[in-house]
Amino acid sequence: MSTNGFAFGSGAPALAGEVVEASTTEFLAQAIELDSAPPFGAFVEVATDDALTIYGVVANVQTAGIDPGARAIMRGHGDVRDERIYEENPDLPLVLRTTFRALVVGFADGDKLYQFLPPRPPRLHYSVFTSPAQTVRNFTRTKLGYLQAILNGSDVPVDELLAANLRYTSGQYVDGGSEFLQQAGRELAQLLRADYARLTAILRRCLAPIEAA
Amino acid sequence: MPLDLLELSTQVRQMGDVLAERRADERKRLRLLDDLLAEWRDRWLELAELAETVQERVAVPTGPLDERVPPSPRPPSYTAMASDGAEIDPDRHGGSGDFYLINIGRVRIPYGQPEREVEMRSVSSLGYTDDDLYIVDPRDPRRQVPMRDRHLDALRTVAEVRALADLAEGEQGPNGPPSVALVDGTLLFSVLEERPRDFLRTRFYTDFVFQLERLRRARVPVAAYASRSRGIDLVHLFRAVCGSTPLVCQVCQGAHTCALRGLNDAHLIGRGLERWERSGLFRVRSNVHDPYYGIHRAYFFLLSTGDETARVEVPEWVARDASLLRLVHAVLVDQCLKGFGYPAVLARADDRAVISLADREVLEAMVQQEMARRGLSARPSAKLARKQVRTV
Repeated sequence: MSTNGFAFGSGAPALAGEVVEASTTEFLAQAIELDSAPPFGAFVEVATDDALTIYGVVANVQTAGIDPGARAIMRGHGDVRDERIYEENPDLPLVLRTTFRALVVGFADGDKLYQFLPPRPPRLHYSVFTSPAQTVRNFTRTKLGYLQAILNGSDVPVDELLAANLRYTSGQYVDGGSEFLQQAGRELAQLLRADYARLTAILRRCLAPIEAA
Repeated sequence: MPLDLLELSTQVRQMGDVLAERRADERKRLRLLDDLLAEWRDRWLELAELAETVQERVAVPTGPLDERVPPSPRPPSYTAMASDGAEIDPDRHGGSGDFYLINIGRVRIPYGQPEREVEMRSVSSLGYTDDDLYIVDPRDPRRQVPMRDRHLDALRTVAEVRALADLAEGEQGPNGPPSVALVDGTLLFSVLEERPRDFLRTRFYTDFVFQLERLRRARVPVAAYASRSRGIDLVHLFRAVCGSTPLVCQVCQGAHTCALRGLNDAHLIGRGLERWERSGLFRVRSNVHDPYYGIHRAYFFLLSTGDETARVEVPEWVARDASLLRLVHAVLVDQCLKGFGYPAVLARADDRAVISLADREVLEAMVQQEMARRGLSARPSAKLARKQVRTV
């Protein structure tokens, strides 16, 4: 399956999915193609009828049967494994779906950006786009109040999500986002000043991968 | 609580005794029948001749009774089509007037053809005009039969095969990969007539056969698949053979009931089948269907899926074409493998056909809204109203 939606450097937003559940603090979207949700921690956006653009951070991705009563069961046998299972059962992409949940972290009204909750949730069935790099840079260049919204997220692995979002966002800067990371570190130090161990655990996840021995 | 569970549990226990007894009795009778089968195994021509003289619907053997055919390898690419249907009967108690709904799930899955799209859809249609709701006798327009219950079932069966014919005509023809069309159940659906030489069978069977003819012209073999078949056409034939009079019967040897009672064709010839093997072909001789079906007269074979014995019916033009029959057999084996014992494409069609309780409520609300918009009253019958609002 293709993994579209990750639109580094491209100017136009890439269509990622469609809103199927919405509330003030989060929305659920169905990815346009099976297994093609934007990455965990990525910025996504939905336009509203009153010309606002609502921003969210992908906090959970799930693939399961469309019918809630129908569960996926093991289909591999012999040498029919992995992608070959999909080739043998071309009907699967029509009965499975990938959904992603995004925490709402702010919105734009024309040129103005706000890092708090919008007045209305996005409308059901409206398109969800992966935010272009320029939008991510604009949203994160000066203020990082949205990190608080992620910290307050419920039913999500908050620390993992914070780290994933910082890694993703720094990747949207041409220079690797060292300035952004420094600023984010300061912001988090402020937010987590009472919990040093947690802070360092999050920051460690933003660093280079562990080399395999 | 509407069930008297205490009383029921006693009855369930008693039923358990009877079921266990029946199962033991069945094994005993099967042993008796093995002798009968052995006697007739190679005398199938005699049996076939005899079958022609029987009034009842019977199976006519076309080869030795113990014939077993292993499946051919499945074609590298093929297209499976299936349709299934569900209906909502006109609701006498509802307030929304007379209408029925037929929902057909139609599915086409091209295997090994990544360039082709999978189609899975529901086609829902309401019947509400007088022409829809009443079947009119063409010879006597005063005679009208309401389209409901068994007649609506028959209408749905015809719609299922029409959906398959529509799919088949969209195929590439003989040059592309082969196609097989499946329906759930039987080709030999029943139409109840209220009086001799009534017009109802003509109406449904003529349309049904026309759809089968469209499939034949499109060169797409069609088969009806019945999971864990309880068909008894062969049992009927043997009852005709032995006369079904246990007291003088050599097989039953004076037992109080006929050894064939309660058994079905799968008991008789399904036991010898290895997984994925099919039995020989039998033609169903039916005085009801044959006059209408012509070259679409139904044949059947039994197919072992390992866990159970299924019955597969095909029209004569499939039965008489060895390559089509091989294709149907091979495709069914592949489909049952993919669908864990039941053809995957039929399961998908069933998913698209099922009308859930929620769907029914949505339809009911839509109809009531439309009536309210026009200022028409939509009051349910007193009985239904009493059910909806329970009083003490």
